[in-house]
Amino acid sequence: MPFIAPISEFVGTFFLTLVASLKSSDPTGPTKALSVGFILCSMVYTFDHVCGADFNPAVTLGVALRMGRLFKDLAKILTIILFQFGGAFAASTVAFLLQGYVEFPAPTGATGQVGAVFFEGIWTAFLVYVVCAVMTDITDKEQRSTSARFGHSRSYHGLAIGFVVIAGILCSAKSGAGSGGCFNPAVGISTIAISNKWQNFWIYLAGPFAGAVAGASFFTLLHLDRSISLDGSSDGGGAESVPISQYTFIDDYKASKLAMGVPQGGAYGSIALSPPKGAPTSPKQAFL
Amino acid sequence: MGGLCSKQISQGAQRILAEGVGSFILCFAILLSSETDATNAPTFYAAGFTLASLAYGLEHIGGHFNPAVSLGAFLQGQMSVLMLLAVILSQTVGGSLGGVLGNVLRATPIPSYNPPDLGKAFVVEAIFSGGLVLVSQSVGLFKNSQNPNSFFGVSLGFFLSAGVSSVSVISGGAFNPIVGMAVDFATLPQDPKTFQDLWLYFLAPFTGSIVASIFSRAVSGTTLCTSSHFSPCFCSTIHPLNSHTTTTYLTDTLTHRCTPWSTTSGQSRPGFAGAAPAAAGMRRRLRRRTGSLWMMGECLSLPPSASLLGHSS
Repeated sequence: MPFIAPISEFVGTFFLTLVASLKSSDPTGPTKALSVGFILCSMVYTFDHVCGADFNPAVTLGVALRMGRLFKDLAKILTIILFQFGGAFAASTVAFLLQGYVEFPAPTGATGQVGAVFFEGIWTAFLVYVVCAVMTDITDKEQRSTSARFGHSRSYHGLAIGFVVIAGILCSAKSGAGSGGCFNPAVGISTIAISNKWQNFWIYLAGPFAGAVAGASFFTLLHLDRSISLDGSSDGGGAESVPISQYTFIDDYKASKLAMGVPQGGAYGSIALSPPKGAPTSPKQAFL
Repeated sequence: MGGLCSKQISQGAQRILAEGVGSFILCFAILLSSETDATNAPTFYAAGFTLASLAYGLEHIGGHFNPAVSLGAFLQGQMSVLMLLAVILSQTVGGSLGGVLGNVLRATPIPSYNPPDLGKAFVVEAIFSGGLVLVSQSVGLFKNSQNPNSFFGVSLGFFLSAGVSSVSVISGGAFNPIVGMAVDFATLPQDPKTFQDLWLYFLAPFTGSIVASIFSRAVSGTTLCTSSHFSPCFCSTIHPLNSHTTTTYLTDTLTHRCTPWSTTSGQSRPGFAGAAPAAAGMRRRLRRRTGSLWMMGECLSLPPSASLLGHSS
């Protein structure tokens, strides 16, 4: 089924933005940070088998850079980012209809806009680094062959990503960095647009995207020995290469499993082993 | 199929008992952790972490502790109608007992709660119950066999915590008919009219559960029928790359192994449309062979794992 990865990103970003834009029941405590991190963790575990589970355009950009697929798969990446923004706008609209306003990020700290954009960039770089580390970097050959993940190398990836966001939102309080704690252009822009408060919107575009580039570059610098290629061939270095990209669409699933050497039992079962006439011959044809 | 064997009956009884006990503990924890003022922070985490630990503790039986999640499992062909009704009855009894006992133990009884705006409460209850069913079907039951991940309980509990803390001022944040019912039972002595909004806590989660099950069928990358007590389960699988082939599997209820039943090739209509005639033919064949009218769970899904289908060896 085409569009499965973008639709999953839509739903995941919808829930993330809904929790972020509804006013927390306990505004003074750490409840907001915990809620956003918890929902992100839960959504990552829910959708990690059908899509990249980014729910964040900056993370999608950073992972694409790290995998070296930004220009080769530009159409897919832009589709996913479009659906992430769509989910975020849908959730912001629902939140606005529910409570009459939405929570939106704004620089409140002593350092103002400059401090906010720096903190958003730095923490998004940290987030992207962690995502690259737990969801794209596979070093153990046995682990790769036994798990049919989409390049998801660790079982605790959801926890790691959720914890980064929790820590970031706690750091971004008014007395701290004071950026509002967004790290997500889809959440930031959609809530700002629904609130119609545009004076700070550039912070939540420039900061996360610049941070994503920085985080992905930093990760690549620290992992130069781990090369990545989609055809599964390892071009040197000690570790195995990862044949699949994190934003793999579902129709690339079979191709990626074949590249990984996973036996294809699958839908053909033991009965029909050859596809009938008219079936798409390559995964590319089935895309979208 | 024939008659029920003793192993099936004991499995079913275990499951019904587990649902009741788990619902009792969940409602007990929610009632005891509720604060009487508006900021309810302990309840968010008590509910979430209790659900997470229950999911881990009763994983081998497959507890839901939520009629909406059970309805989703039924819609996915995981349970029979009889089992669904028994499980919901067990959850209701267990949850109500937990609510009443929790309220008895409290120093101050919890105040009666009625949502300020029923329409908004319905919307948020449906959205977050649907999300809970989606998470549960994705991580708790189905993905485990193909995509092993031991963090399914954490995902469920975290989703519940995040949802309750976001919307508890709008709807109370139950996402679970039995939690709504347990709170109503606990507050009955002070507020005789407390049951007047109970329909919302049943209707909204069930609505969300139906939508989420349809979505989960379309999206989930794993086969959605793994087990059903007292009845066999059919799964129709359409290959995502090749929508012209529909393979139907018959799941054995005891071993949970799938056997290929039939393969339909050359469907003129692509995509999911090909599943309906295949499922209809399958139902007719089942009736002819067994005389049984119940339990047709046809599951539309993406390639199931070889191990789940029993083809791994």
